[in-house]
Amino acid sequence: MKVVDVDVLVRNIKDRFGDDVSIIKVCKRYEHEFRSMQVQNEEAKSEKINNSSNEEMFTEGCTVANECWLEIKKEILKDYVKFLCEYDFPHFIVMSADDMGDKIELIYHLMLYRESERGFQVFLNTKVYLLKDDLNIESLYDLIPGIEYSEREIRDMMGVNFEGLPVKDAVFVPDDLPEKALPWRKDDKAPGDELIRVLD
Amino acid sequence: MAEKSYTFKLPVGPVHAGLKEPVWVNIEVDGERVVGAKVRTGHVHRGIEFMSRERNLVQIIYLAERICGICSFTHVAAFLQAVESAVGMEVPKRAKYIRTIVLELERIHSHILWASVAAYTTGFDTLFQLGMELREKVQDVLEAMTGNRVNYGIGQIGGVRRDITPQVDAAIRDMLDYYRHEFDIFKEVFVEDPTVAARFRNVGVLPYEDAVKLCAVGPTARGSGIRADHRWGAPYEAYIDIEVKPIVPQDYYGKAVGDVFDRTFVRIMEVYQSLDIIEKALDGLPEGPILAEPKMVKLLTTLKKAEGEGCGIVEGPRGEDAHYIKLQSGKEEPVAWKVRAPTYANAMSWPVMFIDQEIADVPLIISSIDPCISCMDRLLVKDKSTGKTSYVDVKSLRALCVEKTRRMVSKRW
Repeated sequence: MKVVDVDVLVRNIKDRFGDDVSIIKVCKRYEHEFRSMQVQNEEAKSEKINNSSNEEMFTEGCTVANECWLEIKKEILKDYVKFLCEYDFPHFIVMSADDMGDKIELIYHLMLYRESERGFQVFLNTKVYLLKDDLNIESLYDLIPGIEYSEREIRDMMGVNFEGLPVKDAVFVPDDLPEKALPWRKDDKAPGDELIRVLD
Repeated sequence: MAEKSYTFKLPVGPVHAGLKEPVWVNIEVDGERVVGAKVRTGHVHRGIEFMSRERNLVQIIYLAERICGICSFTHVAAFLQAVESAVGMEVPKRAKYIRTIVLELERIHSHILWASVAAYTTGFDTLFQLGMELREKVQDVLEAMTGNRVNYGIGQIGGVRRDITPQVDAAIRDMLDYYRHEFDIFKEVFVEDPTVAARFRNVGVLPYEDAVKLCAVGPTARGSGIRADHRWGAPYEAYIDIEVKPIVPQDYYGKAVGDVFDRTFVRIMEVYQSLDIIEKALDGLPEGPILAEPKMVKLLTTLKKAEGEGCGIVEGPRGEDAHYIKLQSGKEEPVAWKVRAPTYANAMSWPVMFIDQEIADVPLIISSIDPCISCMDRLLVKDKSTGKTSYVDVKSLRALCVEKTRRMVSKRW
């Protein structure tokens, strides 16, 4: 395990992959959160609530949580995970997906430094965009076997094909679901009215 | 002539009403030994994420609460964290402490329930009764605090809905005393009794490397020696002030085996840890409001205007529970919501645990990662060589498990 600070890690990722990676944001949670103490009157409060990017007030004490949101190109996904493996085994939490019209957004929620020390875990929420006319992406199963259910789930729900995934059976959807129906899609492939039953 | 196969397929499950995560485990057996296992989930996939598309964020809290009946507040806490981080809302400190207390109370009741069920599965009925009696106390406290024994309805975006009154404070402290005196008997049986050790040791082993690779979480991971606890790795709520150390068997025995005994041990010790956390949280409970925005209309307007995405992870009784949410300005309902319950991650470890075990141990192994045991409702036994099919219900499967304990006891004495 090669423990480095989240800022160094992000810089190293950026150095290694260049333009293929774009950092969306790096959030930190500090030991002494005192933002609520400073916001006294109602006006200031609502202003703060609306302005989530204001992070100056967090900077007290040592960090207890590090979160990083980044976007990568789908071609480098495997290299990216291999690069993370040099630091620590990337613990896979879950994969989320969203139908954004002409493309599908996949977010790999990964965690580094699970076992290092208190407050040192780093979350890497890695976004990959897939165009709807080419829904193929490399499977990470050989690097992280714990990803299996998630990849199968996204396959069931979104219709993304993971190349190299050995078992492609349905995980959550019933076996008799019409093949074209993809429950998480918001386009014409979403389950039609005939498949939706409203329970009173 | 084709080679005759003597393996049997034992589909365990698939479903029982009222389960959180119904699982169907398809076990391949050669005689009494398990040689392979396949897991199929999703029989009661209720489409909760789909349902959220027609609800606003405050309504979804109650939907999230109903994902699980036992760790319901864990889901609420993770969901609230995700929303608060997406919206950028700051939670009052008192509310954070109250959330921590509810989370820990929930952990105590979940762990005692789990240990009791494991005892029942292996035929220690007296221990099961004792566990159920012990659990009543924490359930009473939860009822006094929130008004409900399950699905507490205490969470709200930006805080909590119920405060800790002096009476509740006294009730919780009374509970702490009760457990510190009464829980030792329970612990003694699980940790020191030779029969329990004979039944739990070296059963359902999940080695460290497999646990890491399969991304196991919670007591299942810690039982295998992974020093990972979300309350320690990335503290949230009041865990920022109250330090929690992950409980791993190697600190007590020098080595983590990763069997059912270790997973039990971790859970039993975590009950003591939870008692300490609750006491510290009560002592340090700060004064102040419990809600960032008490006016519901204003809160809903703020949420409607918010745009962004957030991730909330909470260490529940079974492991880390993750929620992801994506909001769009002008929309009341979320654009995307993803829930990852701990069993989702731990179920992948089952096939490893089953290999080379006896059928009589299957119920114990399934319950050892702490899903609901009632998914063992019905078994279908198919004899491949004759094509004969017969049903085994949960009663006879449990009888097998109990019988094994008896056999071991009679051998010993």
